[in-house]
Amino acid sequence: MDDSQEFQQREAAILDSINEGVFTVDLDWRITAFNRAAEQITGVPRHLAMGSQCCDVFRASVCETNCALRRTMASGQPMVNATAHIVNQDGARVPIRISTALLRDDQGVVVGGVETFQDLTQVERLQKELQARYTFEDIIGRSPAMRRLFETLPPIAASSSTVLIEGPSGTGKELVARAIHNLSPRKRKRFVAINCGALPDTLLESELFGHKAGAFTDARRDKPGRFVWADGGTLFLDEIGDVSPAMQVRLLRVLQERVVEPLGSVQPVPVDVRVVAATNKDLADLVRAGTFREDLYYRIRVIHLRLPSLAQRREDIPLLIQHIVSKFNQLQGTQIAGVSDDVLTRLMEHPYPGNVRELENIIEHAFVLCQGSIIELHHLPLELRPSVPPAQGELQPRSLRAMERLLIAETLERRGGNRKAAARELGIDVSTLYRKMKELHIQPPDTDGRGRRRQTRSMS
Amino acid sequence: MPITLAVADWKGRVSPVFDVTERVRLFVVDVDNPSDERPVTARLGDRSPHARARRLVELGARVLVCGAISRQLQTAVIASGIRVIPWVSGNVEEVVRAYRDGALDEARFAMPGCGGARLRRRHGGQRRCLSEETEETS
Repeated sequence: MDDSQEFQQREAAILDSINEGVFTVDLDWRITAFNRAAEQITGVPRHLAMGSQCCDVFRASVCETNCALRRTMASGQPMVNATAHIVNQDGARVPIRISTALLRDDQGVVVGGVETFQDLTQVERLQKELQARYTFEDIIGRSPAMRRLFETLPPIAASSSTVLIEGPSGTGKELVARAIHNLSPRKRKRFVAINCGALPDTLLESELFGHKAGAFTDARRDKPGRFVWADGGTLFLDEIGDVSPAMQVRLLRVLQERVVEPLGSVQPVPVDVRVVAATNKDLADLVRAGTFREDLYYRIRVIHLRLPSLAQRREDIPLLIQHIVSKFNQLQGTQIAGVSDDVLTRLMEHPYPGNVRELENIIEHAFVLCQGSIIELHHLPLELRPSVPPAQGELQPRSLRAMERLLIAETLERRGGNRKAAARELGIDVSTLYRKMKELHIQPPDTDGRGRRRQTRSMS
Repeated sequence: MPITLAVADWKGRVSPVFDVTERVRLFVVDVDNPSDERPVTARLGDRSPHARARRLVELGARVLVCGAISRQLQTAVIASGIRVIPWVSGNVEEVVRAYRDGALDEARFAMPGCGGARLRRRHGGQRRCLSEETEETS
């Protein structure tokens, strides 16, 4: 065996040991090497692939219009992780990830190209399984808090008890209420939602209980209330903490007696309605303050759910971003693949006073500005863009050093330039903070926390 | 009797994947009375299986000759009453001549690994690409 044969054998053994499919082509697009994984993924035996046109063997969705290898040959630039699908011998569509590079001879002359590809079938299947596991009736989350919620919802839905959902605005209280309805035996009947805080008492009374013709001026016809409308189903009373004491009495009566009396009627109407109430306030506090009736409180909080704020389940943010991006892609017919690493880092550290709704608004804003396939920092709302421009000779944006710089600069900004307060918040000594500010070239904000305090004191 | 043959076309060759082919060339083929009628090129547009099948029907195609084709698309085209001859490769003009001469089953017109007629047998109404290894073990 001569040297060149030995070299070829060694080369083939190396290629065959790789789990990814690999093939090489000459300048006429004829296959010159084809490893074992490529045989398995395409279903084409090596001896038949060798010398054939690569498109007849590879049969990828990109061959005709967007061949990765052709682009690499034209530009000289390698391509990494492009996605496509191939049609295999069985007529099945196999999702793949492709990378390409040029092949050069000893003199550096381009003699062909190499393409590596990975079968993503398993990855896609696992992704779908994970997605299903972390999705529950449109509620997304994999944090322990959300998974506990997912576990408790089916038994709650199976019962007909009244439910109180507490949680800050934008945490998905109505989504949970809908999930309870959809999972319950009442799902074939209506889910009726009403925001109790948005209506004045008289209107709310008429909306909830209905009225008879002539009950008041302009009441020309009988109108069934939301309780009757939701008969057999679920009534969602949002912002229950905002109803007046008089309305609380009427609600209590309906929940106790299971009958409603439309305005202007003396005939009670029996109703079979499951009530799910929600509030962004702490109802127990309102009871202690005397603004919410204790008897009504205990009547509606037979089952009590407390939804975590987004800041309490930050680990769900990447999953939520992915979900919101695909939702907007579907709604707007766009093909944005996701967010850049910088954006993800920024979104992970945002405090989210508006919770998931705020995150959704941020992504919606970015969708308007993003013309490419990835949402970048400059597509975010102004207040979320970094307040400090990168320093000269900055390291990679996701490096520890860059993250440290961003964190310190933002803490200083938030603390109005007060180094002592910023150091306390960061859990480091003031001297360490000064050293890091010098090292990382951080300019303190224009306002000085100490100066302002002195100024405030002198004014008071 | 003349029939319209649609061939998935990409730069004069049979397109490698019919699911993403942008156009077909339509040939009126009469085995008994060969004519010199020039082929017409038509765009396919929408890539969904049913839209593709509908478009072929609109174009009057009775037979489709193509390269690789996914099962869903092949089912949709067959369900539209069009005969599908898949896993074909080569120059479009030569492929059409071979069809006229009844020689399309020759191995040189088969995509690599899909053998000739012997290996592109019907399986449940669909022609599948069977490699030599598959055939031997089946």
